Amino acid sequence: MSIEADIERYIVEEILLGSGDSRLDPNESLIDAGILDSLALLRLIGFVEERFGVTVDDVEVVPDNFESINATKAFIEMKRNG
Amino acid sequence: MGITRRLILLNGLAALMVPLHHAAAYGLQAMFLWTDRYRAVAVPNYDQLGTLPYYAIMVSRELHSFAVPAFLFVSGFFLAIMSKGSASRVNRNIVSQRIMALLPPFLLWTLFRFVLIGQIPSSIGDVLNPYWFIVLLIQYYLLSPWLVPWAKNHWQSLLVVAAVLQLFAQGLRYPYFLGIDLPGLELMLTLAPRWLFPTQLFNFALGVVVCLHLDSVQKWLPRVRWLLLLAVAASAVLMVVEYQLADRYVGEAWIGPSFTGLADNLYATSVCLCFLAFSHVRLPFAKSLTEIGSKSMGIYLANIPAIYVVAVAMYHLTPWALGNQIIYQAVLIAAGLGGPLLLMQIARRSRARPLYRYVFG
Repeated sequence: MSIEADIERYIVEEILLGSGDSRLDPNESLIDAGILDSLALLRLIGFVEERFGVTVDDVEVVPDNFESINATKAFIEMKRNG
Repeated sequence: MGITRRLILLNGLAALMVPLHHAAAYGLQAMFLWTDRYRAVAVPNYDQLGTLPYYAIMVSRELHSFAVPAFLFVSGFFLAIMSKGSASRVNRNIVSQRIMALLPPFLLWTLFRFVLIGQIPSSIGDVLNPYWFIVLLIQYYLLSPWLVPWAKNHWQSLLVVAAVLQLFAQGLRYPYFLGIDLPGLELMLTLAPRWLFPTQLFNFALGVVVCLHLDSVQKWLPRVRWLLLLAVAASAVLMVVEYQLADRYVGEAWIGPSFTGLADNLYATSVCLCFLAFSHVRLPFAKSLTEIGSKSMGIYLANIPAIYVVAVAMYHLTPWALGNQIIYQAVLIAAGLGGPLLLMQIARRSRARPLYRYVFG
């Protein structure tokens, strides 16, 4: 499964719990759309750390890095590539 | 572990304290107001004042009192995260989203509680007091477009103003607790209900400041961590002593569980900062605490009716257990924590799953 699909599945199943669309626009702002509040953001970060084996430092916990599915994917790739 | 992740643990710890705190209140109720269910006495009966179980419950209840301040501290921190990065997101859109997310569960559980206890609210306080943390949080979200820039640019003045307001608002209630008949006391109480924003403003503001000045805080905390630990211990003792002094001052019988002393503020702040200062220390059951932390709103909402139902059931069905605080507390705590977690788990796995957010936040 691709990184985008993994992230989308997590958001749809674990954060939205089936209360929203089953498909998300990968460029849609998850924050502006009200999908990610702060606690959901931290849960997403927990998922990213566990699923993709990256460590998110305190300074990296900013909305920009998790703004959308694509932004999250870019962040994961950036962390993996050092 | 980073401070941000540590805060979810603090949230989990606070969520754990909520049912403990409420169970203790019912424990005191069983000691003094339901005594006739297990002893041949008239109620209220204060024979158990000063006994070991009384002190154990009182002290443990005081120690749990950091829960709501910690929730607000964490909420302030988490909200401020949204102002970081290329552009601040703490704007009207985010604020209205947050409030709209809080309102359905608040209204639902408030209504459910009234139906459960068969009471018609007679004042605004009746409606807003039981879930006062949510009422406060909504007010802080409304204030956040001003609080966050203030915290960014002049954090010292924000903390001083917030601390003064908080102590003043809480201080207004002191004469009431002590039974001092002052002119205008009624008006003072009307002006300072515990659900009005000044009463916990410092805790929320501190969370915002810590988030926005994380670099400085991360350098400062290790230097003062033992001092913070000492502050936790000293303020815990002070809090218990303050309660006992107030109780003796009142003299007649018992001051009651709603008394909040000024030392509680020092204790709650010390606990929050100390928890972060020792973020390198691994906690047992950290994974479970994180899980509980992510469900803190649901626990906060559902523990009140869960404990109420079980306490009333025990009052009718097993009155002998009211006189055994070890059994009584264990059952209430299990109900207050296990009940909400079970409900949430059932909701997540059932067809009601899409409604989960509206019920448990």
